[in-house]
Amino acid sequence: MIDFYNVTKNYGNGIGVRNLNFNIRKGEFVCVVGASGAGKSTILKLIYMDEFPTTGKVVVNDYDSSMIEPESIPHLRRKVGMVFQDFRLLSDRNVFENVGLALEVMHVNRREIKKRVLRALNSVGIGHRAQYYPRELSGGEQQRVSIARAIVKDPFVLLADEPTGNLDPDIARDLLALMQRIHERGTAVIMATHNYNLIKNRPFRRIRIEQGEMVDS
Amino acid sequence: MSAGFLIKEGFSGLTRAKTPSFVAIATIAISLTLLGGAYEIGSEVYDIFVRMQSRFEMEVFLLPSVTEHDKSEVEQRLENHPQVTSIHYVSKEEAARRFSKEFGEDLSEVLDYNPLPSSYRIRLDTRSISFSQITSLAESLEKQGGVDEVKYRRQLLGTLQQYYTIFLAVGGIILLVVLGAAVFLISNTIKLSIFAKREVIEIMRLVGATDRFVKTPFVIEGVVHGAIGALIASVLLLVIIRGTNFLLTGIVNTGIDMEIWLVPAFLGVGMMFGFIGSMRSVRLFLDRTR
Repeated sequence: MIDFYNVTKNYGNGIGVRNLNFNIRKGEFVCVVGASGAGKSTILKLIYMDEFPTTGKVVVNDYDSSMIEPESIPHLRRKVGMVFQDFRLLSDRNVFENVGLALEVMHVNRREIKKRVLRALNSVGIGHRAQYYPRELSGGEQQRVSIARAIVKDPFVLLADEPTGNLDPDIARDLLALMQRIHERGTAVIMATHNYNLIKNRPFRRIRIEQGEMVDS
Repeated sequence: MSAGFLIKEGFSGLTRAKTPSFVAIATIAISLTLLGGAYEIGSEVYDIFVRMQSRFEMEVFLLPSVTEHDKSEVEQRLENHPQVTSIHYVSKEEAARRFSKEFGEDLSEVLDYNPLPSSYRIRLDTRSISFSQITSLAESLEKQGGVDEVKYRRQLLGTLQQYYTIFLAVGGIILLVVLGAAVFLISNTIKLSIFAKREVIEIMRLVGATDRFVKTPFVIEGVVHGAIGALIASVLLLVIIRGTNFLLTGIVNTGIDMEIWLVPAFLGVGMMFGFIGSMRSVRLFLDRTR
């Protein structure tokens, strides 16, 4: 499903990741663990093709980083859900509109959008907040909205970049449980985190990154 | 299809980003008002030049010994000249009547004969004829049999033609500068307003929006900004012109009024500015952040 072949990504100000080789199968739950600046976000960016390898290639389903046309990238992203530490919600739109945006860009019709957005919001336990604006929600609630936006399009993989980084430990555990439920419904999850304690007793596959290199998988 | 969403997005940009929208509309309105004002003043000055140049007068005085044959030759010469728009023969008697009307003195009471010569008063359209061509026309008429002298305001004509050339050059430059400034201002304002919405663009791209999908609402918004700016400019220019006329009542009659076709012209130019400006700016932004 996702394959990294000898992937190296150099940034102007230093190395991003070096010589990565790994494979993530359909329906897996994988944690990319490492300190800040180790290269975790770079791995996720390489998967949703916001960045491209300097050498090597990344293959995500049928999308090959070495051959992909710029026009095809939006189509890849419609099949990949993304969650960020800073939520990235639009402050001038309510919860319903924020989640619906992911379907609007796919030209889904209005009635279908309503049905799927409400279903996604309810599945993350935030259906009663549909008309609220992000600023009226707590951090945990905002992250749930962001997860709803990621899963509303039924992605085959959910990429989460430090999703609990800005949250209290209890809320972080709730969110992790939520992502586990999403995983149990068949969606692969790749979560980047520096918080080893959060995942240490969980049955997830771990990819450990140090200074851009994979040290353990 | 999400055409409804894209149009709604385009219009809602007006209320979502109030400050950038206000600045964009104000910039378009001010730029168009300046352009319209420059045009109105320019066209009024142009009209004055045209009026003066198209009714330039020349007088061909005839000798007392002039024969009918001489007169018909002069007439024919004038009639065949393309820039001569009217010919009026002033007989000695009419010249005397005009004299007494203008000076209040009856010549027959002062002198026992009429010293005034008969003449032709002609009007010339000097727009398409050079100063030297008029001079040579006058000189050749003077050589015609029965003609005493040809009089016209040589200096005025020279000055008029000289200023007309300067006016065209300076007016053209001013119009170009104002137009350039308007394009520069509008394009920068749109760039700023798109930069203010970089978060929306970034998130739209993350969730899988194509470049066209991202662009469309901005372009619609740009066109709407252009249309609103154009309507404001129309009202503003009308108020400025009417206000100036009102303030100058009794001092000078400018005769300027806003030409109604400027409203659709403003709309066309404003919407085109909005369209091209937003299209270009959003494409640059997308390319730079790719």
